[in-house]
Amino acid sequence: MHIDARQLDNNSVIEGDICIIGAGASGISIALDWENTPYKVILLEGGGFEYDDKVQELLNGKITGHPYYPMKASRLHYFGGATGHWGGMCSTFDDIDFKKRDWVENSGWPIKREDIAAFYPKAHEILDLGPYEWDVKYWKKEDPSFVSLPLDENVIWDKMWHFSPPTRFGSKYKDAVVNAKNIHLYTYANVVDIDAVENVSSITQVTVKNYANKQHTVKAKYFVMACCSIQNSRLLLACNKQAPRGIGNDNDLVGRYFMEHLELKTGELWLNHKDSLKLYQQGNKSRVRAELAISEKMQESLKVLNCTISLIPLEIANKLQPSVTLYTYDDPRRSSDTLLKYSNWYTLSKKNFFERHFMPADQNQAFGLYTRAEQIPNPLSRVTLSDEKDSLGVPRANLNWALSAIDKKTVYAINHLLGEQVGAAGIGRVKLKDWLIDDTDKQLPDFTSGGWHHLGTTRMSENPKEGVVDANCKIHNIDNLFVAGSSCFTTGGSVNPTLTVVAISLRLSSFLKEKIKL
Amino acid sequence: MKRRLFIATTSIAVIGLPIAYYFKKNLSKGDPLTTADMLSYFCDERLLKEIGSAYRKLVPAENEKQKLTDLLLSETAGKKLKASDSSAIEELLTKKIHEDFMAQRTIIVKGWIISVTEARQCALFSLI
Repeated sequence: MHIDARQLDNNSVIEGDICIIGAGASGISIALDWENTPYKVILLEGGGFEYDDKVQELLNGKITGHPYYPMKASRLHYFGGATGHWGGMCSTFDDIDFKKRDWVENSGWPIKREDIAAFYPKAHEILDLGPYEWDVKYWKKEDPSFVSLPLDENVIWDKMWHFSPPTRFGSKYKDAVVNAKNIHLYTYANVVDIDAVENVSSITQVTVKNYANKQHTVKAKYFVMACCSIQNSRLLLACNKQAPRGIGNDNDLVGRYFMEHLELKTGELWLNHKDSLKLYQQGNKSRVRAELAISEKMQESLKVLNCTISLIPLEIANKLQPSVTLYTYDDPRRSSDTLLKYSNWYTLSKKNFFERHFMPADQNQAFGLYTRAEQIPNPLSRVTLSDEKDSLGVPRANLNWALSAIDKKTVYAINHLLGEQVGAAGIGRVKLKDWLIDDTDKQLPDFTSGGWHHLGTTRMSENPKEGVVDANCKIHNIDNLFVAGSSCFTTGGSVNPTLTVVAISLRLSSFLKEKIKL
Repeated sequence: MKRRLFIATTSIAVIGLPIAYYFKKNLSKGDPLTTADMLSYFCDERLLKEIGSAYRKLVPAENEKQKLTDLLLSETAGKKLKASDSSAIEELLTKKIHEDFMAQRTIIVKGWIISVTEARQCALFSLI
């Protein structure tokens, strides 16, 4: 059922069993998981079904620290959220991503990979990722032209990626949500305040507002915040009338440990022969490919983070420009168009008539190395509130994106390891970019881009002094307030997060289903 | 006449270029002591010499022909080969390069992650 909150009588009171704040990948996945249950689900979306610049403007804020994408443009404020412009790249987290690593400060989730493993297959299906197969051996059997580089898999291994079409939740799941009898989707319902009982041990209601000057109240047994890392922490910090530091922020941790994935060109692989390296190529028609990943053993031995390298034919790689220098407009549509024009694999790899018909097919001697790395959780990398308020009266979010020395060390390590491995295999050599040669330089260059992956800010921890939510994504010391999605990530892994975001949201959903029965 | 000239020129180009390429490839197989075989697949002579000069600056203790020759010819056990035994040298250097990579005896020169042995080959090449 769909209700436009602008059309409701002012000061309406909406009641349900569970209230999900935010209708992106996470919120929609949870809502649909409750379809056909006897429970009334309230799904609140700040925007409508289409892009609305006035609503999008609510996301605006200032960036400090390492250069980053404009706040207004890095998420989409309408039904479907950021899936409206995501690229569809998916992979699973590794075992090591959840572990306490003594060389990685603030690492260690209170859950293990096997705790979310059961939810990956369903997440995989929701994202239209094809067969749930992640072992490179399976794909090599499917396509014998997939051949691995002859590297030592104890050092560098083939990590598989799947490509979603990409699934646009806004179009694919709109009918399912709107037609579900027990799901009540309210559009133009921006949460601007959260009320709790006197000692802030449980939430009683949230207040929603819109540009039609309507304000409503939503009451539920359980509340789930699913509006992305920056907006989740912004709202918690802004709701400070009962909890002076903000809800869930007794230990000054809300907004901290904002993480991204570091993405940049780092070098070249030159082979002593021409090869398609089809297994590693995007657009190889099978909707899967491998990236070269640093092994758990090497991460431990070199004391670095998780990371991968993708191989792009050098002539295309040379044309790719850093995303952070292209995605610079406040309007996400304009930024996306610029990005697609100047830095999109498909656009840049288009061949002219002569190349299509007369050039040898997809055989290359040189490949660009594109590194994708985990960022260490850094408390100074954080979301804070601005003195400026948006037009609905909520303080805007400011983001300070701070990188650390180990981030650069990690990028150097995997590229250096690859150079040694390729040399030992006798198949070619690796050439590093000039800025990467000096391993004593601790800074990554300004053109280091993020993957538009907002991680952390309400991190998961066993102990309230180390994080904001517990192992079940419940805010510590608050009975009925939960956070869904990448906001809860304790560490970010090296892969794009959407698959894990959906999996972890389904896990939360499953937990709530059990809890509500009690 | 013009047509004949065109056909003749094209024929020479079509036949001549591969022959020239074949000879160039074979000619480039010179003294194994100064030929970094793998690098020569993608680095031209000028670049190989630049790598060699850069290595000599990075490792000034080896900035001398005889020193580089001795290091290249020394076997891991300390034995030395005679400079005249070309195929034995080639075999030795191939083995040494592989061992360098396995033992992380690598160096970054002008961005290239190369084995110390092939860096020395380039260095010697830059001195001749």
